[in-house]
Amino acid sequence: MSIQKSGRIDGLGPKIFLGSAAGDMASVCLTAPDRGADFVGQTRDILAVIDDLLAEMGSSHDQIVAVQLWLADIADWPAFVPLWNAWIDPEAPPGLSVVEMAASRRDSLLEIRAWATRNPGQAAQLPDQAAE
Amino acid sequence: MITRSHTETMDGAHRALLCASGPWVHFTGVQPGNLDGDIKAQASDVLTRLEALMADAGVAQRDLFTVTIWLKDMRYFSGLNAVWNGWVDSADPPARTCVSGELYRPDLLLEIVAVAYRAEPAA
Repeated sequence: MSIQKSGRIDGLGPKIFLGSAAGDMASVCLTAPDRGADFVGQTRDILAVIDDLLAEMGSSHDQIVAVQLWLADIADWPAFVPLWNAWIDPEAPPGLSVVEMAASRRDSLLEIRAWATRNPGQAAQLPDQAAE
Repeated sequence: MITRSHTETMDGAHRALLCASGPWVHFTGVQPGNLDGDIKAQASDVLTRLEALMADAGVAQRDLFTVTIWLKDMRYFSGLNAVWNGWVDSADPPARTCVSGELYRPDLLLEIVAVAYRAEPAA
């Protein structure tokens, strides 16, 4: 098996997968699925999708080694902190870098990429791969 | 097995500057210790800090797979490069990305995200 992908997006925007994994590494990157939500809502939604996709790829957020956070407005950073601390294990946290970047649209407030280790044997069998 | 070290908080956010698993070593969000300095002072400071983390992880400059530098403003690009060029092995410099964006503190001029690959994981 080569690269396993997860979280297919098909719509008016780019055709992409949000997650991909190879060997014992997995990575997920996305903006909020519901841009009607406020900053806290968008953050929670993104973290939930990361959890789901990591699980599909045989990983989990306890196995995250590095997170890159891009904020459309760095002024939102303080609001991110409590959500982050509740999501990670404060005793064994991943790496975190934050930087402000222009977003694709005004209602997209943040984007997160996470890198995690995984156990390929625990990855879900996706339909197209199960057929192989 | 993931090893996490050099944990600290950034405005209260818990994070580990060094996370390693197998051959891969992640140095994430490495910042200068002293923010009361110009770009050259902060660049030297953050590279010294990165080097100390690399030594702890048992990797050398030649083991760097990618280096990403987030720079507060591209006006600091030349100053950063002057310090960078003094730090790197000129015969074998690392692969580097440098993009500008505002950082979490107004007086922080740059931070580094680097990934290294070590052939023999340190015990």
